[in-house]
Amino acid sequence: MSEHTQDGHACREYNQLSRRQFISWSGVAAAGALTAPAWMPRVSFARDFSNRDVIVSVYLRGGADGLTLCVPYNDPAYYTARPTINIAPAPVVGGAVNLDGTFGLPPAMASLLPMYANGHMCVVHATGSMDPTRSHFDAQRFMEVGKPADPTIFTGWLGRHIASVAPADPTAPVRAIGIAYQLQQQLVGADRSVPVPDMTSYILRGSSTTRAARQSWLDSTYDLTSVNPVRAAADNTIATITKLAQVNAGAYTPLGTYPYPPISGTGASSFSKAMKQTAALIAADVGVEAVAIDKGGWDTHSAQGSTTGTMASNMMDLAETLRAFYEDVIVARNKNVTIVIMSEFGRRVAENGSRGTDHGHGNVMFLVGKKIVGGQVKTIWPGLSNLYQNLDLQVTIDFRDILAEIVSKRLENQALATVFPGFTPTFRNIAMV
Amino acid sequence: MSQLATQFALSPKAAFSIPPDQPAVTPTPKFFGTRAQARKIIDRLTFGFTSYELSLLMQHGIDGYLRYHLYPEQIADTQLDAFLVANYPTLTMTPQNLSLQTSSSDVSNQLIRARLMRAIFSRRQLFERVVEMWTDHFNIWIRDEIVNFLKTADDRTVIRANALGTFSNLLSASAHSPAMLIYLNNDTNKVGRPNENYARELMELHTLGVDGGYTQADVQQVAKCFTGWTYFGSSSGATAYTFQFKSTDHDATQKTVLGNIIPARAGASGQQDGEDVLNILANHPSTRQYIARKIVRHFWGHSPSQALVDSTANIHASTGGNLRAMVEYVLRQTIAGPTPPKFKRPMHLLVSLLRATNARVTAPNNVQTPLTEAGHLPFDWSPPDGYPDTLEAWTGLLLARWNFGARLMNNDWFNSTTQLGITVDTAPLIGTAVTAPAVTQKINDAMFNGTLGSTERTQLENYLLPNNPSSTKVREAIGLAGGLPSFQWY
Repeated sequence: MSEHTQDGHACREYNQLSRRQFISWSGVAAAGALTAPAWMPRVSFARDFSNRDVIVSVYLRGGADGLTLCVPYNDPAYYTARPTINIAPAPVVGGAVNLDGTFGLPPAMASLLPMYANGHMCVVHATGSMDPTRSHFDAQRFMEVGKPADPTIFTGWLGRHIASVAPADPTAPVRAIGIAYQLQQQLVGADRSVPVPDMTSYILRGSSTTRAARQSWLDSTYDLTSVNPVRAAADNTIATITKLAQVNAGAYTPLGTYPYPPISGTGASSFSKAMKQTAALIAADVGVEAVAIDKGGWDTHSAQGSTTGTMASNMMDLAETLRAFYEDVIVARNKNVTIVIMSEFGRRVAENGSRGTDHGHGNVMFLVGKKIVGGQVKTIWPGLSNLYQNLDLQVTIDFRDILAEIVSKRLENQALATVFPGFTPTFRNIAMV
Repeated sequence: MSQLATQFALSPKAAFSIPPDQPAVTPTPKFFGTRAQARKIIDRLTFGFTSYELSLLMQHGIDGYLRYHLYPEQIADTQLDAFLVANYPTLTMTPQNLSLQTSSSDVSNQLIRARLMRAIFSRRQLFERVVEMWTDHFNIWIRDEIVNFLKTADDRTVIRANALGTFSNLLSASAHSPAMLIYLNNDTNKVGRPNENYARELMELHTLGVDGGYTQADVQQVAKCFTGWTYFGSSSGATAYTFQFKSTDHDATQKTVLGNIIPARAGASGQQDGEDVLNILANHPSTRQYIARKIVRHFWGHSPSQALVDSTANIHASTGGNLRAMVEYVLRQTIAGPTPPKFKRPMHLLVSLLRATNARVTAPNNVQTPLTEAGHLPFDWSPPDGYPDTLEAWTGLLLARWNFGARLMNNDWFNSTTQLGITVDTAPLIGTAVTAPAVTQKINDAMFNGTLGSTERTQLENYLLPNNPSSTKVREAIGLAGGLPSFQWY
């Protein structure tokens, strides 16, 4: 389609990265020196990265209510502000599941307690973005690009991480997968990254007799006639079809003692399916370094349902799935995996008139992995009597402190100025080297 | 020029196949541009090139064709209208009657299928493209509780009724729509404990834009203004599920919105608070910019110049927010200039493929699954910002796009027992062509108005070789043509 300039994206940074995507890795360092943005590193290939963790990045879309996900049950202000939707204090039956004498998990997430007790799960509280926005879309964008309030950055923090380290497996055709219809912004910029909504049905349809011929035809046609980002996407698509056929995630048998939900009844949630497929991918050792997964349904403006109801069901699905994945991949298979779970903002401390909560500020993050400094609620607790804009939980730990420490210690990438431009992180001792 | 009729749905209730009112190609055509220009004009106004649209363009000329589509109320669409009446009776029901249907998911399925049938077959193609834009702008997730039957009323009385009217009327209709009030929780926004969900999205997504100059305090004040905006309950007879202002739930105190004093108002006059806010927002300079950019991005492309946005915003200001005038202006700019191509979103791609291949659709539910697999089923985007309209959002999942053609031409969407589904008859498409180059030329003419580049033509020929390809191979080649890079853009 030579008569058109298909690279319609206005952003130089994006175009530069897109062009980079089909440059073979041997050429990247040289090309980067000439054309890459200032934050793009001169890649060193000297180190062996093969032991770094696979990162599973779970994003709770909609602004999950951190005061329910991790309850400050000793704070009377919590109960004053949440007369109808609070979770009772530990150790009342049906109340919070105690973590450290101050904070507790909601009963719906009690299945996470063994991971915490094993020292493999850390909760970070009063964390999030310092940016004041209460827009879902700005807040998600700012977190995913890893730099608040900068409209010029389109690549994501995880994408820039991938782009700034050599592949863990140089032969891996796919380095990052977003289990989504649209590649999550956090992964944008990663070479060999592709959105895959469902790993068990990622095949070219039509006659199986001619499938190989048609696939090869599409491959060569896109190589001959398309330009980036579509051309790189076509290459990634073909490579991913081939690789996922080998993985055969549909036939995956989990190890471990804890089943992926649901144990019985209706079909598995999309999150349970996504995590199980991710387990298959990691178990197959095909060189994928990052998986991004979304879990929605957290925008609980009305009838929040902290103990029974909408949010409780969502939390139970989250926790049961995480536990199953943990027992399967991290315990039984002994894979090097770090899971990070975050959301764009917490919710208003005071409940609204609809037994729900409006958009807020500070929130929680969950970290899971054998090299996470677990068994702790890491926080600089600001309390619920001294609120951000008199409304919301303050942010006392920048989310990038947490992510940067993971990137440095668990993903073994020291190019933190690339991954989080313009930010000097403070490590919070949440991960081990 | 072969006339490929836009072949109509055959259904047990509405057995149409060929529209009777094919325009004759006039002896003195009024369009003298190139094939590429014709394809571009048609692709920019419609959900995809067909030879029927080409005949309209030849008949009317560029200006006449544009004006033809800009006044959809003057276009007869009798066959589609009859089909919709026969097959989707809930489309015209009152909210009360919608609520009385035994299956609310059947109501939402009728709306989704009607949306697809309109996109594929309506003569009012530009109107359907405009509806596409406002449906995303005022997005409502159809799976959200009772919205699943109320979105049908919203689609009819908000989006379609005002799509080419004024922005202030469109905004006002949306603000009074029970489906929107429920989706964004304003139905429980009450004095003393306001719910600010609608107030925030009203400013962020519907009017000013996130950087449009409002603060958290404005959000809270606007939320107070809209306290009491809800709907009549199920026991309210004919008014059930229509807009209601409940003065007892309204915060009667004075508010300040974007520097404007909204005076204290008691009783029924309290509704005026929300009306004042809508007036302030509809005519705000930030709104003009935001709406102009939305229209420009939809019709012109992903990365417009600020100058084009500004001049479109000026049309907004000078016409009192006349949407038809703004759409006309942007389309004229788009057609006249060296406009970069825009990447089709999945529904657009699938609809354009069905149009280009003259597909016969007797059970449109078959395209719901592939659209779900592509992440673009109508009304199924849960956050309030609507399906994204950016390049990067849709370039990743090429496989779902390739599978549209693969499945269509493999008859995956056709039940040979019931004889219902979606089919393509290749005979009228290919005619008597038997050699690979001749078949390729037929595909090129029908789907691309003969504008395919030589590399893509050669690739198609190579797939079809040796000559005298089997009908299966021809079918596969048509499916692959739908996956060509050129077919992904318009």
